[in-house]
Amino acid sequence: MTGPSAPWSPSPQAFPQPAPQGFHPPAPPFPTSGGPVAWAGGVAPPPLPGPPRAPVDVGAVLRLVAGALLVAAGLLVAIACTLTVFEIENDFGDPPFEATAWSDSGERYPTPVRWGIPMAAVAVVLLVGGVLVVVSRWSARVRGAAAAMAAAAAGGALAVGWMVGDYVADLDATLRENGSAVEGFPEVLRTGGGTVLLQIALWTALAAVVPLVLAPVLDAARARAALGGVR
Amino acid sequence: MLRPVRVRQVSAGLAVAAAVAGLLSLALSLDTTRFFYEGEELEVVTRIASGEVLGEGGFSLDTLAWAGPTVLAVVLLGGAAVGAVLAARSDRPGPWGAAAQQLAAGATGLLAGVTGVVVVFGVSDVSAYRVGEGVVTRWGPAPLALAIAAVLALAATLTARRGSATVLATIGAGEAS
Repeated sequence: MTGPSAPWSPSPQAFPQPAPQGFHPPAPPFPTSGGPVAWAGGVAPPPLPGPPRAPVDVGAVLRLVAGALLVAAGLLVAIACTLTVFEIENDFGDPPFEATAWSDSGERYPTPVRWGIPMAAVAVVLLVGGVLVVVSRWSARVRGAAAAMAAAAAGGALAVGWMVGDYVADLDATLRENGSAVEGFPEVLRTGGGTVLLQIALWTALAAVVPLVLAPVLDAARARAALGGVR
Repeated sequence: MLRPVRVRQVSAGLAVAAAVAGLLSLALSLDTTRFFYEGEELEVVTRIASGEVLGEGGFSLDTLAWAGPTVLAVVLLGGAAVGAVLAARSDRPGPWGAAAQQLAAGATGLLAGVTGVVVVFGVSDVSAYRVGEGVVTRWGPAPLALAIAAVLALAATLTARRGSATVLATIGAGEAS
């Protein structure tokens, strides 16, 4: 038997169809002065979305952070070069023995230990490395050189900060030992601002290594995600 | 002309050589100071990597140790050598080449920093002869070993990502044009 089939499913026009993505129905005409203005009750229509925002380039941000940390470490080391490394005070009424990065009171040997030479070299490398890392945020060509320079700068800061810090700490320990062992040996070492700043610079330079290592990893993840989106 | 793969193998060798030189510096002395009185040797002071002062009656108020940063540099160089070997499996350096370069660069900075501090300290020690006639200080071999290690580490850094294979021909290029 043939005949009209039962209307078991509505025709496509029977129900409102969802609009395709990105499609927005035209707004109703704005009432003009021709008629009375009446605000319709109910929920206000959602605001129209703007153009899609580009995702944040986390790798670029990390490079900027690493560069800023390296430059800060370089400035700290440069300032440390001008400050006292340590000072030894005594109760004999003599002037205290003071050692800076470039000179001392002349009690050790005729030529002072010029800590300032490796410190200044490290400061320069830190500053150059920091600037290169910041530039590498925009120029992919210098990324390899910038990362290598930054790693070398962090290594140099670590070596100099570690050795100078150890030297001052060992000298302090020896003076304390002598003071407790020998009566009438009241010498006290005071750590200078140069040593303190050098230690802060050391940790700042090491902190810069973390975003520097993470940046290419996140770049690769971003590139993979972009490729996945294309497919 | 070396292929990029071969260059990275050379980089691995340089990193190993730098690590060996760094390790060697741990067994050598920074300097030795001899104290004389009327021609007779009274005391000998030799500075070694751990900061200790060796010798008959050896005592010094200040000490300088370079063992810690040097050992860290040797560890980084070991990592750089492994990275360079892994990067040498193909003509493109890839992430292993980048890792090898950064590890070697970090070790270069460490060794250069250690060398700089050791040298400025040694220069002060050697100036002791000006205190009086009875003091003579001679340089030990450790600063030289450290400087050689730093130079080798720098060479390993520079060669870790050197070059990539030239494209000699493109299949289908003739058909496309």
